Amino acid sequence: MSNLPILSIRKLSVEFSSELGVNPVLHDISFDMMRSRTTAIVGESGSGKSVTANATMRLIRSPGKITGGEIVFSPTAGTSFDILKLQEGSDEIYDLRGGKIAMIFQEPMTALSPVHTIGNQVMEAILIHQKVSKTEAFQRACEMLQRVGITQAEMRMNQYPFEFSGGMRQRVVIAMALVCQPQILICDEPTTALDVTVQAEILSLINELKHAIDTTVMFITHDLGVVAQVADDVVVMHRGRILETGTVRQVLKSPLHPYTQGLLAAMPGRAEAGQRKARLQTVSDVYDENEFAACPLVAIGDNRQVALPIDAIPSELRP
Amino acid sequence: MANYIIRRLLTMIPTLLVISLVVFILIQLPPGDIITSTLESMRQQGMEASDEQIEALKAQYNLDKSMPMQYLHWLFNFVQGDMGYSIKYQQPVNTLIWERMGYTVIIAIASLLFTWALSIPIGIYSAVRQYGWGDYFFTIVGLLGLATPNFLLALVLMYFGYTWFGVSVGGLFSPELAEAPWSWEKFVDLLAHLWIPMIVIGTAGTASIIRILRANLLDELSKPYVTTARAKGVRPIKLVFKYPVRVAISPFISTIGWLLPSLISADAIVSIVLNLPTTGPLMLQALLSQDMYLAGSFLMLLSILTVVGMLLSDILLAIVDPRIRYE
Repeated sequence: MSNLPILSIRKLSVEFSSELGVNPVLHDISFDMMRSRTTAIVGESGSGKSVTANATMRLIRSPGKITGGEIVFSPTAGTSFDILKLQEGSDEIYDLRGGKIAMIFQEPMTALSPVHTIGNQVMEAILIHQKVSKTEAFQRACEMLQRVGITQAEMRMNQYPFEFSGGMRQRVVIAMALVCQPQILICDEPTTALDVTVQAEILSLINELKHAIDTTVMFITHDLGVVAQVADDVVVMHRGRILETGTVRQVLKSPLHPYTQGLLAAMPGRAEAGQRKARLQTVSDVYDENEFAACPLVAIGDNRQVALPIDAIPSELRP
Repeated sequence: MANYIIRRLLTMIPTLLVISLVVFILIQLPPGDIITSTLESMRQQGMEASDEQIEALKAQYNLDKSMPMQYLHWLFNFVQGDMGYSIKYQQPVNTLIWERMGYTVIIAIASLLFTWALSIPIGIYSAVRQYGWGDYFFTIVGLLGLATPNFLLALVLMYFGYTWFGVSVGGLFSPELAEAPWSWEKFVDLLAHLWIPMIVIGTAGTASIIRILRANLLDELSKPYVTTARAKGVRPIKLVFKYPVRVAISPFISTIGWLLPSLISADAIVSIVLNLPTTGPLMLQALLSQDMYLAGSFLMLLSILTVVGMLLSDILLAIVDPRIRYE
């Protein structure tokens, strides 16, 4: 395992303009994703998690605009290029999308076209990115469907999404994303729309396949429970800024930023038998949003950063 | 699928029977009948009909039988393809209608193709480039087209057709060729005349199809499956046509059901203004002059085409959208 980041986001800024004016949604965010690891991006709605993912795929469309920064992608140890410098409409971008970087979406019920067969949609991904015949693509699509746990894959290939349950559809979406063996898999809240048992199955499936095809995962979620299950590294986002990064142990066990502490405090725990549950804290009970607003990230050791003034960082961790 | 079609065809029979009964009652509702009007015209010519003559006339038109028998007679003849006799034109209804049907179908199909050829690309363009200058331009033109009465457009085009191209105005043929047998020359002459009704009737539907397609497509373009396809690396043109257009087109397929009957009743006013030999003006006349068998035949044909059209569009929808097939 090399220690080089496969994806290095530097000072990425994105704006959305509306009739009311320009709305910055990402402020100079920077973080690294290490090869073969799972990096979870955590934050509440509107914190900029999905925008970060979409920017990586160059999927941001008007009225959104990437206004600055770079996203350096290193498919192999020797080569690297800035995704943001790719020409719009160029072959490299289409090669990237679905080929080198693939994405799984939140809503399995609507993420598949209702009027095309599963086979058609999975095969399309293969046919776009690999020079293979239709029969070969059919074979590969079938194999991939089997790998994600769909039985009778050959028969299922001719079925339509409405004949699949939500969990099954998400398996199809995963198959579609991984069929070209991408180097980075972006999961944009892939389990949010699923019930808890299916959620666990999907999470372990993603984890298993990640190891099987040796890919790097960017996992977007607002669920800290999920983070604990899947992540190696964590990026905490709030209002378009990164507040804290570190390994999952560092961030969940000893969070430095008061917002992260607030998030953890707001998770419901288990009450002892016969004991009345204490009232759950909200994030704003713990964290005053304006307290450390716009404080720059400070690097405190290997890929651990926190957006706090120096004197608010415990002295033994200060750089 | 075959099962479904057979079932639908079978349910069409009672539907059409009920419609035929209603149509028959409707055409019998106006006071007076063919006998009274014939007697009236004879009286004006100074002739008196004897009782035997009246009886003979009644027998000729089956009017001496009871109402239910008349209905059965009419129905039986209609099923066999005999639609009765027009009093006003003194001709069999069959001759009157089929004579005009050919031209009606030509004009209807030409204007339909014109409408689609114009509105579907514009609709797609307007949606993909929403709020671009092209979208605004087509919106303005489209709304103008929607607001302009067809007959006015017909008059304007006739004027320009005459002053600029010297095309003899109105009709489907130049006067000297109208009665001539079919020849290459006559065909070219037909094409030279066809474009005015094609544009006039075609533009009427264009604006609304553009608006509907644009709205449908905008809905579809923001659906997650489009983003999924983009994230897969599908290129923009294929992305638009393979996914959202396919879904957005469904509403048009369901309107095929109404297209068939409108073939017959197609824009009577435009046809009158342009002096077209189509069925529209004939039907209007039949209704105005209470020409019972002619009017009844039209109503019946319209109903049959509506029912058949609905079946056709249901079958097409099932082909296009798999979700319908399985329900």
